[in-house]
Amino acid sequence: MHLCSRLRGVAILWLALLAGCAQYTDNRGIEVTWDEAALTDFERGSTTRQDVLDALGPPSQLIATGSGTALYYLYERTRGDGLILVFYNRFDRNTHYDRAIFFFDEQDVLRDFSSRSPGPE
Amino acid sequence: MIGRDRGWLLAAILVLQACSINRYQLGEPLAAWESDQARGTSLDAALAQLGPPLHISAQAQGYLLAWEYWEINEEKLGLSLRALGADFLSVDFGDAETRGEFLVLSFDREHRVVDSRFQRWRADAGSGQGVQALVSVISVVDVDDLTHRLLQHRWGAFNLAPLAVGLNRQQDLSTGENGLQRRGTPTRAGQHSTQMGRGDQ
Repeated sequence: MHLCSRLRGVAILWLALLAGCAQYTDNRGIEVTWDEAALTDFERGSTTRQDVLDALGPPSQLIATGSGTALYYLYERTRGDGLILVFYNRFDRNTHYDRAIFFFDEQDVLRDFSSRSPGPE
Repeated sequence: MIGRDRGWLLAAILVLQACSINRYQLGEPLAAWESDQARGTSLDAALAQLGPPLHISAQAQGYLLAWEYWEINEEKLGLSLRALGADFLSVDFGDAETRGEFLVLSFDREHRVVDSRFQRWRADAGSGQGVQALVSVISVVDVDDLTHRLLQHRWGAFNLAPLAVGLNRQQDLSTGENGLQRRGTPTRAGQHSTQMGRGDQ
């Protein structure tokens, strides 16, 4: 009986030691200040491409659209949360794309832009 | 005594099997978009409604913008002695499902929508069963090709790519000038087949 109790205790301890949880974040890209205040200085029809580059730095991608250019800024954030048990494991990964795009005409003047930072940090 | 044996047997069965669930959420659901009314919409109005796109590519008469959202659910069930330190046999079952939304808008040089297409889907992404000895070397279901990072991070990287990829530069998607494609598009056929398996991921 005493041996059984000890074995039971060892089993419970063993199960407890094998259980765990995990959390991680994975960030890639260009982190700039994405709040709206950072973009209020940009005006369609007057802001130039150089103004945007000076304010935000080099983009993730520069694209020739045929009637001008576009600057694309991307900051990719992944957050993972996991529950690791002996016979049940679960992992949730949530990826947010903080991004902004700026369209310029052939004179490198800002035509349209949009930004979005959809998720929590 | 028999009851105690049954208890240990039940506990052993519970301990020897394992369930693993992986869920991925990539991006955010798209705002409502009526394809029938899209023609003629200005770039400004499209960006105001949908936010910045996830993909952009130039084309002969303008450019393409695309938005996408993915949910991936991967479930695996295994029966193994690994928990007891004896991994000589394992039985695995796996199943994967995807849900998503994809919207592509084609703009002309005057920044007006000339064509659009929206799709929402729910699809089986694969399943499998296997009995493996000693080591589980093969995953019966795999969604890695659906969870890669966006191509914008690789802009310019084709200059350092292997020869087979560099020679196919006219099909490189990271430049933003050679079209776009959804996640999960096979790379061993079509425009990347000459890259000998080193397709865009």
